[in-house]
Amino acid sequence: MRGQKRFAWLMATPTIIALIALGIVPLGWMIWTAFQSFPPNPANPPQFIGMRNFVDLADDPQFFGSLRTTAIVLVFSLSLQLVLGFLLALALYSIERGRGLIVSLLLIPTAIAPIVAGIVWWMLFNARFGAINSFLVQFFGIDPVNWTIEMPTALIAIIVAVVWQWTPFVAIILLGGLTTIPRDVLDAARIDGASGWRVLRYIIVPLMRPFFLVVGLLMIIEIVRLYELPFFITQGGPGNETVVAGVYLFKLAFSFFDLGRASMMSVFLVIALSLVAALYMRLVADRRMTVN
Amino acid sequence: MSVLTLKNIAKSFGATEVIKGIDLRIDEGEFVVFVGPSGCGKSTLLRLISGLEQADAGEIILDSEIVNDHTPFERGIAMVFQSYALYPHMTVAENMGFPLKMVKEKPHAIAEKVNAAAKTLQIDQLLDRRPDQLSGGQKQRVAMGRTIVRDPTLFLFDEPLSNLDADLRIEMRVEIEKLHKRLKATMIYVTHDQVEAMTLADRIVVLRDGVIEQIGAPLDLYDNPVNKFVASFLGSPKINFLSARVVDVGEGAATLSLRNGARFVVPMPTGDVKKDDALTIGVRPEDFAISGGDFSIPFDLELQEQLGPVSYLHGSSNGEKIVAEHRVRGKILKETASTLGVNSARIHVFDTSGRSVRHGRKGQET
Amino acid sequence: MTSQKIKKNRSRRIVRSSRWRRLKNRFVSSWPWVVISGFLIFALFPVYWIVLVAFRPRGDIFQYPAALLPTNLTLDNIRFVWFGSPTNEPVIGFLGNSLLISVVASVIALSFGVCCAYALGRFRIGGSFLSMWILSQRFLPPIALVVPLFLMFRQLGLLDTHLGLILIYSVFTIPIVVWLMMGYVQSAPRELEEAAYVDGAGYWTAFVRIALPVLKPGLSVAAVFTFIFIWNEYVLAFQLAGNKVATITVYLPRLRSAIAELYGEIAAASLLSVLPAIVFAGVMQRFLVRGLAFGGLK
Ligand SMILES: Nc1ncnc2c1ncn2[C@@H]1O[C@H](COP(=O)(O)OP(=O)(O)OP(=O)(O)O)[C@@H](O)[C@H]1O
Ligand SMILES: [Mg+2]
Repeated sequence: MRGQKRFAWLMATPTIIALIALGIVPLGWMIWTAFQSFPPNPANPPQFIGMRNFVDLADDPQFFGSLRTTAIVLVFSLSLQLVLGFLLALALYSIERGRGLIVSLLLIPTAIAPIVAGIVWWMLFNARFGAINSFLVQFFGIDPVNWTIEMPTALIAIIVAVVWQWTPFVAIILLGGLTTIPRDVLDAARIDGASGWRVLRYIIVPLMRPFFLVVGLLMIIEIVRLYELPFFITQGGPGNETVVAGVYLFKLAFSFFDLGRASMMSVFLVIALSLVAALYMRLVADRRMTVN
Repeated sequence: MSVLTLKNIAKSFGATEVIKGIDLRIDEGEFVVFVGPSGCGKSTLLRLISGLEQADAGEIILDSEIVNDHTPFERGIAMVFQSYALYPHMTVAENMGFPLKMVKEKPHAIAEKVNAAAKTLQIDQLLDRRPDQLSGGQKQRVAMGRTIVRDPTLFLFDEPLSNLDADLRIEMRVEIEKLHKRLKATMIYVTHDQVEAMTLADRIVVLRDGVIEQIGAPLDLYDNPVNKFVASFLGSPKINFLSARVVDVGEGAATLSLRNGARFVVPMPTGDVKKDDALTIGVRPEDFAISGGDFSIPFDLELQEQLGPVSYLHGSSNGEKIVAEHRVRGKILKETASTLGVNSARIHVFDTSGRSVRHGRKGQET
Repeated sequence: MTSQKIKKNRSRRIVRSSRWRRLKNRFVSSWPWVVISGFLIFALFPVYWIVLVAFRPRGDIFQYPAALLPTNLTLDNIRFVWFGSPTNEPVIGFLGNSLLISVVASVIALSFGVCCAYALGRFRIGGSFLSMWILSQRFLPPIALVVPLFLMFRQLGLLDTHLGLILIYSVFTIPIVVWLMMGYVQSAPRELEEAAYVDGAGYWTAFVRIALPVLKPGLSVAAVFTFIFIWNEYVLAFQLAGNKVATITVYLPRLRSAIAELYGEIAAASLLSVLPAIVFAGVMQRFLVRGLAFGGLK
């Protein structure tokens, strides 16, 4: 028995060391740099400035602007992803043939690199050479829309891209949830007089609650880390209207070289994401949440 | 309570024909049990009646109305599933009240009916629990409660007791019987369990490969099976089959001989039987006796299973397997049981196609 | 009484002919295909557009309004991207870097991760705390740690090296591997290994000879996930490397900042870069439907 524990620890140690070295150490480093000021020349050592970065960040309208933009994207994308994803999941659930092939095709957007997704939608939304304007002009006779350089269309473009990339994933997770509902239970509901949409409302939706929560939390994390799509589609414009948290963090760190303030912002993001993650863990660990 | 008529019902899943033209009439208040080997289409037939599946052909008539296109609910049918199919996120009370909520009953009326049903099923102290806090037997009662609150015209049960242990099975079986007596409702019940079939049914429907082999009262099927399949399906241990040959055909009786040469005369219709025909005789285990009978067969005892009041003697006769029932306590010697006596009046006779040409108890009754 | 209500219901409904009902049923039962077709178009149109632009001559690309159907076809864009042109470097070196880094980092992550998942799933060391801690690492996206990693790599001289990217990608994907593999470890029968112990095998032998073969399907799924994750990653690839050691994701935006916007070339390069993802989407599909959401901890 002793040997067993020792063996197990030996097996886990490399991972633990690696995660500490490149997971925990940077975190500590980040907290340390969050209280430093970095001179423009990397040869000069950073200086401890206490809470100055925090105060600066708290005073920074662009920081709050980026949070606000992220929040807007989050609210719209998440609702669309959950509603459309659930609709798609229900559709996939009710077909018998060809599900594997369809799901593979639907998952392509999720499997594509975010940077490529950004490129694709940047091309599609291009005012002159993009497919969307071409479609609008040719079929509806609408004047071309300057999608990516005007508000609110720039934000809409980003939301469309996010929805495009992640809705299939949401749908597949929810489909996995649907398949855990015993067929007998659905049959029983029909026998008991629940019509199609009442089965949905009284049986399916309540039983899917844990799956909605889990996939919702995963999506929150995805959207908080959003960088590539806005970076490529709008480059933050017009003005700073589409600068989301990730884009602003990059700007702080690598355009303004204000590494101290960027670290402070990272600390903020890590804390926010950890809260989301903790919620997720609670959910997953709570066995009663899973449908048996 | 209602009359159910099935007219030439057929159902296929893709290319496989699962139900192949079923005609059946079930009277008001009748308790009908479907039995048959696994995969013969019992559940499918039940689901067709309930409206969970659509029939490809034929008519399903409730009272005098064709209900093929009606939803399960419009048919006014209640169903108990093998898995109980309780709603995991609802309490017992909510589970039982769900059908009433669906017809927009007032909350207090729902509560009243649920309480009444819970009392009769002795689950009134469980009303606030969720299904995952219930034992198998309790879940079973809740599932039944959910069906009775809505006062349905027809009850369907798909192997409702098969997930329970032996004691609970008996208890719930009696419960269902009482329920039937009290509600006088029409019930259709699918089971694998012979005892359930024999004890509960007014009539048993034996299915094989999507067709009805025979319909009848339990003892009638037991005594007068129309073919070898039905004969072997009912009765435990199974009926024994021995090959025989026709030696002589007389008026209303034939002389048969067994492999060992034993000859005996059986009264039977002789229209289709000729001399030298190969036949099969069927003898139920309880129709053997160590001494007595009007002819006997050699027996090679291999094993005696003692169950208390009876014991089963496993062995063979001229290479054909035999199980005989023995109603005397105690170990029996191989030599003592070297022959088994048979009462020729009680044997079943089947022709080469398996069709019954003579039923076992006929002679006795006359 | 309920039954009265039902009976009334029934007779009211009979007025509607059953042909009408059948029609309605047929209409209602086709809704999933309407939804699925809509989504397929939405999901695949952008892919179609990349392919279209990638094979479209420059003159046609910059036409207004853009032609929605294929016009003239050309291999020029692919050729420029593959062999390089005055305005852009050849893609091959970038693809090579991506491939090398993805494969090596995946192999490291898989080896570390499967050992750790086995230790956690079979022997339950460290209680739930250890597994929770490891799994929680999955929630820290690269972007949250990019600043300290940049500073750290600068100190260690790891910026713009293969080694640096391989190290960081392995560490970022280990939690994914652990998370995916723990489910497989826990559902694999432990009796097999116990039989091996009884036959005198040590823990390591039992792991390598008995457990690993059983875990193979899970490993291939995990390999696909880590490979795709690394292949697709942009933030770290750009910020911790991206000059001497540049991956395919870094190559793409470069085409944009070149003198003219090289639409055709960007599309062609994007097309090359998504091929592995498209191939693997089929593999991912099977696993995801089985319920990824509760994966590791079930
Ligand atoms: N939805 C379905 N799709 C395809 N085939 C089906 C479907 N439902 C049932 N079948 C097939 O129809 C046949 C009859 O199935 P059914 O469930 O009615 O059998 P059963 O008599 O209830 O068996 P059991 O005693 O095992 O419950 C089986 O061969 C089964 O595989
Ligand atoms: Mg069945």
